[in-house]
Amino acid sequence: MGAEEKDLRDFKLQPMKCELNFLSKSDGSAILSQGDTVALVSVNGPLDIKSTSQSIEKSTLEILFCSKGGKPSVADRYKENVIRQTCEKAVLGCLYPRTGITITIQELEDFGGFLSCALNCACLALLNSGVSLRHVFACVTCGVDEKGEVVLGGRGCDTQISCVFDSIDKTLITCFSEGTYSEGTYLEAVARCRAASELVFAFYRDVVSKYSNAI
Amino acid sequence: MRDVFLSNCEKNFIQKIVSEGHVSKNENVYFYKVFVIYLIIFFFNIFQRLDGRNYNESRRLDISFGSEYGSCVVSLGETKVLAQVSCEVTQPKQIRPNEGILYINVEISPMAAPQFEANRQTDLTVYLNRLLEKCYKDSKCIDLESLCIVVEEKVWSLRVDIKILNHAGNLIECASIATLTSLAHFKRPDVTRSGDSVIIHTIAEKDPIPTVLYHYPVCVTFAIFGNDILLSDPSFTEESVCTSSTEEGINTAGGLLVIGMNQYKELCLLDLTGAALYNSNIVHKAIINAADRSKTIVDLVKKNIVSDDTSRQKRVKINFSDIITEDHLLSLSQKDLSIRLKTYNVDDMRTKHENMDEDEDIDVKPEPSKYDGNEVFFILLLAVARDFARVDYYLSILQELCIFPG
Amino acid sequence: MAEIYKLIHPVKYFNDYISRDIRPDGRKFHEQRNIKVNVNSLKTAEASAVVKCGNTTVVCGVQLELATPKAEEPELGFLVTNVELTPLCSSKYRPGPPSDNAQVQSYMLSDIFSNSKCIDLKDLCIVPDKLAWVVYCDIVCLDNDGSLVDACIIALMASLKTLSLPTVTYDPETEEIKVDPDVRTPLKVDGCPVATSFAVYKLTERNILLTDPSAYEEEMCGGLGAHFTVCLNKGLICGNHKFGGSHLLMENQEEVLKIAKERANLVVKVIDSCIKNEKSIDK
Repeated sequence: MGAEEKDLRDFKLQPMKCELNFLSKSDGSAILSQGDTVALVSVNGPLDIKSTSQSIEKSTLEILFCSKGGKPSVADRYKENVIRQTCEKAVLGCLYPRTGITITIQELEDFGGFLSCALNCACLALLNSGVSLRHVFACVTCGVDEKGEVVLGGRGCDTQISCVFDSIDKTLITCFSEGTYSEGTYLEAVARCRAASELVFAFYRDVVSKYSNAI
Repeated sequence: MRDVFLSNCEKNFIQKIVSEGHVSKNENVYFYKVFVIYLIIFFFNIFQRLDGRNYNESRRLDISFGSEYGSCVVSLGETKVLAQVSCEVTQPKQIRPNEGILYINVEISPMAAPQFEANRQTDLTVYLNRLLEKCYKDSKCIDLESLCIVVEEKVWSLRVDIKILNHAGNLIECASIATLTSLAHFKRPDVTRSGDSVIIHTIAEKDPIPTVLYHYPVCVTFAIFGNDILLSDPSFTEESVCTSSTEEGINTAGGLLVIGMNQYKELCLLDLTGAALYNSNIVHKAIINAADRSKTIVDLVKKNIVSDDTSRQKRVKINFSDIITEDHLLSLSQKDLSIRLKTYNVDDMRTKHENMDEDEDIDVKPEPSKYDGNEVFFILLLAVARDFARVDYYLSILQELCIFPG
Repeated sequence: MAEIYKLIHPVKYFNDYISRDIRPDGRKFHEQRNIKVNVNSLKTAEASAVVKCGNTTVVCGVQLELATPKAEEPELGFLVTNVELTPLCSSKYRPGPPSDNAQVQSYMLSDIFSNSKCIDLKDLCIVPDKLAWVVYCDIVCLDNDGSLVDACIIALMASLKTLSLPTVTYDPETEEIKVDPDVRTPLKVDGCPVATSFAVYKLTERNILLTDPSAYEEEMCGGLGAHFTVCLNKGLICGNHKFGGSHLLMENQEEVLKIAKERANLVVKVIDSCIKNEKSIDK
């Protein structure tokens, strides 16, 4: 092991902090900070929605992304789309046909990697709301620093690769990136993120076990 | 989702609680000096309102700041509001060429309560927006002339974005405190004029300038019951009961009275919704109450801003993550999420591209399962006992976390 | 008969094809559709291109305008991309303000484009803090039959490669601007990003990758943005997008990158030869 041991290095994910049921009026809500980035997500549903957007097969997901200040932009629509597609895969929508589930995301602090924090926070809020899920998901961001090394968290890096994994097979559900990078970097980053997603899942598990022990 | 209306039964119940509390309140004055009786009545009186507050008692007010200047979350009990001030350089209005622009925007998303729809203006949004404009724009508390850079060409325009996070009653007071705090906390970047061009300095280059506020107005809300009872800081149910009329109610006249007042006890806004008042004494009483309340609020806001400023000068990192309580049952914080992975360099990688697959020997320490079978079963049993409807939810969580096979 | 079958059992219909190793339109799993490029097809635009990938047809027109740069970034010009999905291209779209999908496609396109850094915005600046070019790239979709981003990127790059900027002289004393449209310098384009989409279909045992999916295939595999898009510029990846949909396995990803590389080379060749042909006709 000796030589190999040298190659191993400790990587740290940014410290995570979360509180469930932060808002009293929503069916489920969570506030999550990853490092300095903070997101607040509320989930309402399943509730009745207007008949034009109802689907007879599954519940309709409505995602609203609110930036901190200023007007809504095209980038917000893009983020909504990423979150909608990811959550649609995770929520067992066929249990609630003709209903709507509203997920509202409020940006509180953005020091990079906000979308990844928002995705994790949305997952916690969904857990809190009691909506049936197929699986939970975790988003991890990797950055490539000036030396060409892949680092977890990736704060301050120009190139960032974010991956979302499901909790069952740890396969890739969603992936988005910034900057340019080589093929090898990409594959390495995905493998890294997959390994690190275990930590996020362990975090989810600890959050749930903390209150379910008390119940 | 449509609004959930209160039933007549609920309305009458709330009104009864409030009016009965009122009867003993009169007795309270009568026996005021008799200490023993006072104590007894005090214990009777302690539940004057459904949530256990006195008529004059407000909920707990908390202010926390974000990392940027001019961003804060204000919570009044469970009601939570986020305010963010931003600024940009624009052309001034033609009728006021030497004044900056203040713009207030209120947004209520489905996050506040499920009955609100996304991207749609409701009557409440318009009402809130107008009240805040009256209180902060029309009372001329901000020195708009100091926001001017070049007359008729360039002025600062301040934009206050108010986002309602949780609607549990008394939005007006909470939103107005948030607006005031964020405006008083905000600092805009410094500018220098050299000839025709204007240079905007970043915060690192030059210290930013705070906004000048002549006075600190704040809106205080009272719910009026039966034309003679004043409740300060009404909760969501109290608000909806006092503005609605009951057919066979105990006392029908009631409404919401909003009083805008600054720290010098000067009135700058009065607004009444609901039924007409036939007793002007109550307004007078409310104004006296509001004077005290606004003074305490403004003092608290000022104190918070000063303490925030000193900690910023000491280079303490201030961030919204501080509003997450850590010792709560439903919260968790983890500082050392570490994982051991192989160090990797892109340049090395290019040379040994082929044997990529073997490279990923990742060393994750296996997490010992925190539950054994019995414990899981026990939790489930408890869950069944507590909340029958949610059993499938607990089951699904456990299944998802792969703790409970099958 | 087949049409009725498709209507009644849409999933089974698709499944039957895939389990027999063929796609409903007769292609093999990794076979892509024909690409047709035509440059300078619109005479009113400064530069333009029409691209057809199978049935997906997009038109890109480039307009030039002069403006003052932003105060925060006085040395940069502007390049604005916009994708329009009109009711013409698919029955899914309604007239009116841009739909969510159009906004997402627009954002993805500009994201890929800015990540690839193939155009230096400093080249678009004429006098710092005073004068700069604004390049408006409007892309209109005439027919949306899947893999829209792929076609949009080809159209954008083909038109930008043929774009040339008129010379501008600026007098700092009188602030007079003179534009000479006869003397033109071509815009520097560094590399050429190419996007390739893959739909992931979950067959009971394994996941099937479908290169260059059609609109029908996209829908069967999870809808809006659920397919995996890889963008390559000079051998480097400049964008990976996949939102939801079926899972993607590790070995699939390596396969995807290989195919995307081959296709990137092919597309660059197609664009270059098209521009060369156009020039030889002009002479």
